[in-house]
Amino acid sequence: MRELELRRILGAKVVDSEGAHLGRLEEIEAERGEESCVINSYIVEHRGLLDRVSTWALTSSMRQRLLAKSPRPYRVGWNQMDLRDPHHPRTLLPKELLERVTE
Amino acid sequence: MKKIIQLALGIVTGIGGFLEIGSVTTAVQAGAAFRYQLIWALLLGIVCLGFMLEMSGRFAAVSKHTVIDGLRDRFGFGFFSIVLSGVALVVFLVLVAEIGGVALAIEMGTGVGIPWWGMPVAFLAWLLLWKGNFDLVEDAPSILGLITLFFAAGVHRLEPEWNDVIKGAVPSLPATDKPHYWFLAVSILGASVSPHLMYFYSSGAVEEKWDKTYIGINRIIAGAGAAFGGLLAVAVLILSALVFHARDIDVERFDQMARMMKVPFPEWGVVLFALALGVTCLGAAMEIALSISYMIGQGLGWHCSEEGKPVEEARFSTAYTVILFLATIPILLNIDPIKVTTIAMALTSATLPLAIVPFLILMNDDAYLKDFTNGIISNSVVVVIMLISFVLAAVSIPLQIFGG
Amino acid sequence: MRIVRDVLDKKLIDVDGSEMGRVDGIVLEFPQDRQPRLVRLEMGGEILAERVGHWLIRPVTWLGAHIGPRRKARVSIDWKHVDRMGRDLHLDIRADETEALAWEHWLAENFISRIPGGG
Repeated sequence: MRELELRRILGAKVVDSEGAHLGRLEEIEAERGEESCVINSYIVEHRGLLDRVSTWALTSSMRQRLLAKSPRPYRVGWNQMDLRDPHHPRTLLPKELLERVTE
Repeated sequence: MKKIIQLALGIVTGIGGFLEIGSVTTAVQAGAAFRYQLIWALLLGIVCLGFMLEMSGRFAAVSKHTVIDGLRDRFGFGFFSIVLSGVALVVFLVLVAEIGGVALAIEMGTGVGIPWWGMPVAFLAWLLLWKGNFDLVEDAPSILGLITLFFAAGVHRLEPEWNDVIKGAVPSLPATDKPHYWFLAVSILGASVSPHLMYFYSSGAVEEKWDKTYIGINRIIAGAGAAFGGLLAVAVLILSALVFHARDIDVERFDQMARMMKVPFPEWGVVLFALALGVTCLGAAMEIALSISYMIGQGLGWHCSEEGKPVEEARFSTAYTVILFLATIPILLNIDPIKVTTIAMALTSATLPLAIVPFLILMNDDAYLKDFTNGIISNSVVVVIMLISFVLAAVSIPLQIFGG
Repeated sequence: MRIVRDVLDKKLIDVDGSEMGRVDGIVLEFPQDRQPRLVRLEMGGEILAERVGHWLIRPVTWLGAHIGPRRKARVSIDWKHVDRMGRDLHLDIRADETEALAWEHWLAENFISRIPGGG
């Protein structure tokens, strides 16, 4: 049973199983249960300067207008992410097989 | 009924609370050096301030949180600490200048040097915060600050050529000394639009428990307060132009500035000036000390309120106590308050984007403001004025340092 | 729900409605072969220092060890105490059941109440 502080992995550069650069780990999707809060997936994305600064990127309408050209973020399932080295997360699948986030 | 009283007090606060050492110094220097040619800069600053205050109030009324809360919630501690450090450092300089302003006023009356008054003035400000509540801190200095209406009366007595005054509302370049002209324009903007005012205004709105029903009142308070208060600054500029520019006098020192009021009011003019500055600077000092404490406290999640006894918000009370104490140190070291003011105003202008950009992002976020996010006018006006201020600062400050 | 957007840096309100502080850090648990979960919220100056920059950690830790209440460095709150989530996180425990207000109490006793009029 391992514990990890969020700040160790937040903002870390994520690569896929082939070593291709995917972006940074910027957000974690979770679900509130009765006793605990389980993690469903990690959001990995390329972020511009404005986005680095705003943690609500995905809901901000201003960002949507600016976002037209940027590639869409990846949604990596909890069982698709290897966090044994927290500073260098790796996905277990190549990027072509990873789900993309739709706005 | 309560709303009407709040409306009246809000406007009074705007009128009596607008002038302080920054706005007075820059207006006097502008009038003396360039007659009416910098009135447009004052008007630009007033408009921007009005919009920013309205937005702060609207944010607090709809989200029930202060702008500082919104900043940390939305941007995370990393970015928040950058904004906080930048704004707090610059506004701390302004605090030193305000305490210096009160000390200057007392020195004029007593002849005893400024360094002696740093501690007593800071102590008085501290005592009022310690013993008083938010209403006292906001309202008392503002009501006393109505003494600044004498500047308007002075203008009325001296009967300027109003046609010439109105021409000053449109930018026009002076024949000579252009770097100084732009530097003063930048300083005027920095004196009018200080980010801490936004934070203080929204903290006040939350302390008064504003809700959506206050949005209309908020608009009036912000607009009328900024407008009437700002017009007093214009009055100072006009007076200075009539008294100093006409006689080609260069105004560097405070006692010179005070003599400006001697012309319309030969017997009481100097006393009026000193009193006006003393009262308004004291009010501003209290406001800034609170603002910085709100910034730190709300950012770290403390209970921050001026309502209870100090022991009920120990960290918050400690913060403003320490801040006021630290601000006396430069005064004791005999720093010239006018010089500090000039630097602080220019720095404020240069760092405006640091505070305004995240604030604008917040104001457009419907998660906080629901149906009350900014319209295109609010966004455009603030962005344009902020850019003007930043560009002017980037250009004129180096020029002033290397030229003057 | 999203952890960075909805939990991190949010204000914590205790069961009596008082402000307790903000979520400065979050602890995740990775059990063998089961879904990872969010287990604890943390508050503390050292955590904030680390988020700003590593160079700040040692000075802040030193300060905490020598000045003030000198309590355990960080305050931990189990996730199960989160009652409601809104703009702020509302907990089902009292602030005094944790060390969250250690500095507040220490300053109140040792500094503020010693000044006349402090209350």
